[in-house]
Amino acid sequence: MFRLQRYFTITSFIAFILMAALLGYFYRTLAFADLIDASESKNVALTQAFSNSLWPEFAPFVAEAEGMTPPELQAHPRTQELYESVQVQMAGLSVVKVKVYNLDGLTVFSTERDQIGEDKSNNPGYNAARAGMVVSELTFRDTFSAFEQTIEDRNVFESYIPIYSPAGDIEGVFEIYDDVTPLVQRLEQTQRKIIGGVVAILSVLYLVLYVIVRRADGIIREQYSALQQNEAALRLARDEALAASQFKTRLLANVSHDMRTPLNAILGYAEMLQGGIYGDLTEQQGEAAEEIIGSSGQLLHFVNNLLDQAQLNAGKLKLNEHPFPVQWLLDDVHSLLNLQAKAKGLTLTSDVAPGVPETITGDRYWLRQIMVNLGNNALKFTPAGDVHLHVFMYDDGHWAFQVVDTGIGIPQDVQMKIFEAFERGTTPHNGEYLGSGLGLSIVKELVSLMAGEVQVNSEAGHGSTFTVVLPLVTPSGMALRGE
Amino acid sequence: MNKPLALIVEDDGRLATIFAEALRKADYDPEIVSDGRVAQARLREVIPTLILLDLHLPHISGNELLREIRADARFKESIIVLATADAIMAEELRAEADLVLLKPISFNQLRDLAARLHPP
Repeated sequence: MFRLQRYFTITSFIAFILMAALLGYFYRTLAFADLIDASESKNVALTQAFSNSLWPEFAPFVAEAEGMTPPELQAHPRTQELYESVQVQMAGLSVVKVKVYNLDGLTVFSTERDQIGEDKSNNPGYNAARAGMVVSELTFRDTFSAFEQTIEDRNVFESYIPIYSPAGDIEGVFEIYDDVTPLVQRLEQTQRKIIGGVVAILSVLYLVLYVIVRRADGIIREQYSALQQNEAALRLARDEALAASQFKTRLLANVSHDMRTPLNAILGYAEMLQGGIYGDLTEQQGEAAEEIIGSSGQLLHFVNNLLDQAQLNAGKLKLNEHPFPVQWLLDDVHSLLNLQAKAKGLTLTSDVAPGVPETITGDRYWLRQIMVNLGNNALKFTPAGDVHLHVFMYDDGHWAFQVVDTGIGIPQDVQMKIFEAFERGTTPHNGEYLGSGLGLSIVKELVSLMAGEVQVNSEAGHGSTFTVVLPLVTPSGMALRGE
Repeated sequence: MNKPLALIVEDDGRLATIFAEALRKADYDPEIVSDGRVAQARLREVIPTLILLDLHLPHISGNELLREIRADARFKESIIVLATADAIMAEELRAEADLVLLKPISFNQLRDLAARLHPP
């Protein structure tokens, strides 16, 4: 199962931490860009102030400095003078160091005396300023010498700035170091506050979401377990239904089994009586025997149909196809139906038309059931006249079995319904034609199982013709009758 | 000339009588055994032309008997007719036997079928 709560806890925690860090980072980047801009402007302004006040006086010395050794320069009285002037100018400002270079890169002046006389002509910062650009850099210094003292842990902002003559020519380069530590500290403090604020907001948001998610997770879990319970209940119900269905099929099979043995004895003894095995019968005794045979035949038919229907319902029915002689099947059906026909005083005839193969492949058992059902139906609904069983070739690929009767017929509107289980062509009130109503539905299902079709041709009062058309399969080619 | 032997293995006496009469009419010499074990013993002594076998038998089931008969080369010429009231089992065993009859079996039907299977 998907664990919403755990998933939320982990992913949103990571997401919120990332959000806070990113916000802090962006603030810092933007704030430092501002700080650098502001500090640079300040340095440029200071440079301008220097060139306005001190440069005119100092410029000749810068020109003179050419050719002096560093010790000479350091000891020069102008240097001391300038140092004092710069100290006065920068008093109260955060400037910690000032250097002046001539156009050859020589350090002409520095508030750190040791550095006077150094050659900076290869320094990229100096060269950029020499070309007219302002270059700045913010660095953190563990120790820094400022006006001959050492200061520690400072953020120092240094700029190389060109010095212009009133005519607009570059006459030297000014390097100024500004201590921006308080600004950076304030900025970092603000950053910390922002991150703290964001973390606080996100925490509240996180808590709110956590409560919602926890509730949602609970609901999901509840529904999931309810779903599982439902599923278990459904599975149980399905199993019970299946078991009940199997029980029903088994019960039907058992009941019909238990009915068959005594039925067999009734039928067999009546046939033996009628056949004169136990001596000759009077006409009346013969008729009584025929009644017994006819009635047991009906009962047998009913029991068979009940079981067939149960098998069809259970989906257990499989076709078992073998070659068999068509004539045998027809004779078999004929002899079975003839008992009832004789009992009712009807004429039963049968024939196999020329052209039908002698041997056909099919499920003999179920074909017999189909034919017996249709024949039984015809006999049942024919009060007088005859019933004819006819096997013929329907077309090149199909053979057909037909039952033609001279019975009561089926009205047009009822013909569509007679193949449904428990439907009968006649009204149930008509006691004479009561039956289980299963026969034709079984025929229909069996025939479709055999990939065939049943046709009905009937008119009320003028008899019925049922035709079963089936695909022709022969064991080996077309062994035609009479050839 | 002797009539061909038909062994009827059926535990219900009434049905056995009917089957015997039908087979006698079809010109066989019927013999009835009502128990699977007895049938087994009898089949060691004789090779019937036709064996009519009920599937529900005491001691040894008809299925088992059928398997034994099918496995024994001595009976490869014998005609095996199964008689059962269980249509589901009849379905399953149809390939095993020459003929499967679903009870109730009509006297006339059995007589006619047996006559048809009668050796010339």
